[in-house]
Amino acid sequence: MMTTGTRNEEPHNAQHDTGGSECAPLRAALIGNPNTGKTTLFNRLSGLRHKTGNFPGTTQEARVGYAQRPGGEVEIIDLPGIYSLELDSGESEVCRRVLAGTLAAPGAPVRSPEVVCVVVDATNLSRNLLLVGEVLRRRLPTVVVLNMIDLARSRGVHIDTGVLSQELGCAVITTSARRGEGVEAIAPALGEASIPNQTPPGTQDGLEAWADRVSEAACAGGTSRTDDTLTDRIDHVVTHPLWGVLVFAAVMTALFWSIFSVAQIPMALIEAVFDGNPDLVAAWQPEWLAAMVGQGLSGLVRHVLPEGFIADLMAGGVVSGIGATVVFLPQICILFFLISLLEDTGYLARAAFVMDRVLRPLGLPGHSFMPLLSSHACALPGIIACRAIPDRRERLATILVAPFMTCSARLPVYVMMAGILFAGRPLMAALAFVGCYALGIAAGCVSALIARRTILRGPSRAMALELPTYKLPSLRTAAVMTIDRGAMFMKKAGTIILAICIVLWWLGAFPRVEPPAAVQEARAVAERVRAGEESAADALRLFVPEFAGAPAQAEEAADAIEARADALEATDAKARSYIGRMGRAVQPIFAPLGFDWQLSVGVLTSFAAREVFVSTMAVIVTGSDDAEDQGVLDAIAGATRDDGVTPVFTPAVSWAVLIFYVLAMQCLPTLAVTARESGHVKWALLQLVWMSVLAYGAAALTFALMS
Amino acid sequence: MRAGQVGVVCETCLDPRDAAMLRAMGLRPRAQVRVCRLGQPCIIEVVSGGRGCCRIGLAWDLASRVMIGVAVTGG
Ligand SMILES: Nc1nc2c(ncn2[C@@H]2O[C@H](COP(=O)(O)OP(=O)(O)O)[C@@H](O)[C@H]2O)c(=O)[nH]1
Ligand SMILES: [Mg+2]
Repeated sequence: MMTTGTRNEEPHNAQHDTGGSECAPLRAALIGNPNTGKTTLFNRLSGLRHKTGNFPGTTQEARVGYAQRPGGEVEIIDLPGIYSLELDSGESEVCRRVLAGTLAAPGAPVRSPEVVCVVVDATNLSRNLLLVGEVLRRRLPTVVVLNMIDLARSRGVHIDTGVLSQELGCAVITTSARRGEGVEAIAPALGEASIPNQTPPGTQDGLEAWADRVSEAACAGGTSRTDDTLTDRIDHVVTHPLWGVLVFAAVMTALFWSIFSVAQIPMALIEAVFDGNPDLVAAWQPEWLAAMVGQGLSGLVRHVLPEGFIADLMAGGVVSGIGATVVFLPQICILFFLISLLEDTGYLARAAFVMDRVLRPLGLPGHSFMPLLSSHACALPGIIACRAIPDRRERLATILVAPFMTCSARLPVYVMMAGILFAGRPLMAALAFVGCYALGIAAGCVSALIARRTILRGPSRAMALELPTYKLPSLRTAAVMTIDRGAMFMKKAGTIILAICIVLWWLGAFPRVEPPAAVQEARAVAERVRAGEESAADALRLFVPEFAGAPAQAEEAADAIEARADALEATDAKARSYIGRMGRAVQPIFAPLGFDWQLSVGVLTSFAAREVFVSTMAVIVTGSDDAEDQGVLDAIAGATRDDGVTPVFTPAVSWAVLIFYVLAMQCLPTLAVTARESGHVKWALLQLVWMSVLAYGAAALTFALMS
Repeated sequence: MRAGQVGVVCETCLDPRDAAMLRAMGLRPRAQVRVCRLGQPCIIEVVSGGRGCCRIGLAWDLASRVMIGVAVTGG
């Protein structure tokens, strides 16, 4: 504090900072009421030069950006929007601690900011000045940014910045962050900021009177109610018990339709890059290109790297593991883009009140609606979005039930099981899909109700939200937000999920075993057939009866035998690998669900990520993990148990599998995020145990009823 | 109170946390307000002359505890 003061009172302040790279950038904290344009301003100042993380030990997001100013750099911290520094809420506490210098963004040294930049909504000056007053009392160098000046002007409000600056005792800059007007003046002003020479009163009453007096002195003209009739009318419709729900349903339908339909194109593209398209191989000339086109990145990796452990690891573990995750990137990006646009219009605050009516009886607040909505793409961003829920118990309850929502990772499993259960009956398959969504939501609702009646019992806080004025959304803000979230997701894919994939691959690939006698025998027969030996005819009849009577097709027959041998070897290797052994060991646990060891392995491998179930089943059953191919799906559907007769997927077992995957946790990253966001591992464990028990019980019941 | 009426906040009987929150949001004693919508949710506009206004949505539980005296007889 002392150094801060002297440094900023020095006349040659800027000179001082040009000293060199050993000089840390000037730290500026951006503070203000919600919806005053802090984030827009932050994006304007720093562009994409920012990092997003969490303030250590809190659930509040910390965004740190950098901007140039004459004679150095400024480090800007985008603080959460607050109404007052003195409130008993997480956001206020974070702001208090950042200003006091006891909390810093991750990676940054803990020290108080050299300058505080208070963003003020020019259309609502007197209330915004309350926060300004609280900041001035902290006696840090301060700059007041009077934002939304364009809106104020259009309402006929004139604000005399000279008077305001004198009354506040600090610099005042007018900007329109949306259009970028006046923003360039901010960085230089931050460098020259000085400690305010006015101290507003400390009591709430005194502060209110002070704010009224200052705004009275600085403001002239303006009718406060210009477009109110229109806003009134829209508000009436969108919060109406009937119309509000209809509007809400329409908006949500449009949202999900875009997520699922628009995302198809980039998803197909990503899949093509990772998996390739075998039908196109011949068309490409350089060999590596052919490998890439035919089998995607894993093909390329296998082509470039020498055969062996490393190539297997890269192709089987790394590339396919990351590929399976990156496919969901388009859905996540589109969801966040659209949510950001919706949020910007001001509609979501109204939608929260519509949902409040539905969620309140379940013990959840209207705030839970956004997190639960996001969870339909992926539970990770959904759980992170729970930060917006003010009450701790309500936030925990929402975090606990978020993974019940049908995320995009469940879809491959639903597609496969619906395909097996209702082959050739698309209408029934679609109904099964909708049923799965509904079951997930219902399970979430019931769980929330139970949690709020037992472990998280407590009063529910009635909702009070400022309803921002309706605005045209800003594409720029939405784009920055999307890039931000996409990068966060990719980081996760590159670390946690990658590690899981490598471990799983290793467990499935080791120990390396000799192929069983049957496989060796089959290969030998293939050799003999190829050599045209007479004596091979008997063996041929045994292995591939369809070729027995046609010696002319010896070549094809040999190929068929070899393909069969390869599949047999892969299945056998899986069965004898560590994961196969684990599958046999745990199979008794899954016996009440009707699962055999192969399904048990599927459940085990998909513990970390549920979508892995499909590729695991493909690997076990056919020895190839190309589940896109219709032939493979048929093979899975027709797979038999060890006795070679009983199918793996009887209708009863199929239903049990489907129900199990609707309800089961089966996602390690979600558990990690739950532990982090709830502040304790016990909540993640509770989530895991509760969801697993529910899934197990429901699947066992289904199996018992169906068979 | 009827929708569309203008009044002044007289007193609130809320628990201290909610009261502090609403007060910081601008819904403080003697603040001039206009009721835009009654029911669930209640929408209240806080007006302060030419110095700005804002809309606050309130759950009915909260809104019913905020007493608003009709100041100017608007009908
Ligand atoms: N008309 C106008 N709108 C603005 C201005 N600055 C921000 N906005 C809009 O105000 C809304 C809230 O902005 P945001 O940056 O999210 O506010 P935050 O909650 O303080 O971070 C968004 O819809 C912005 O597009 C401005 O200077 N003029
Ligand atoms: Mg913001």
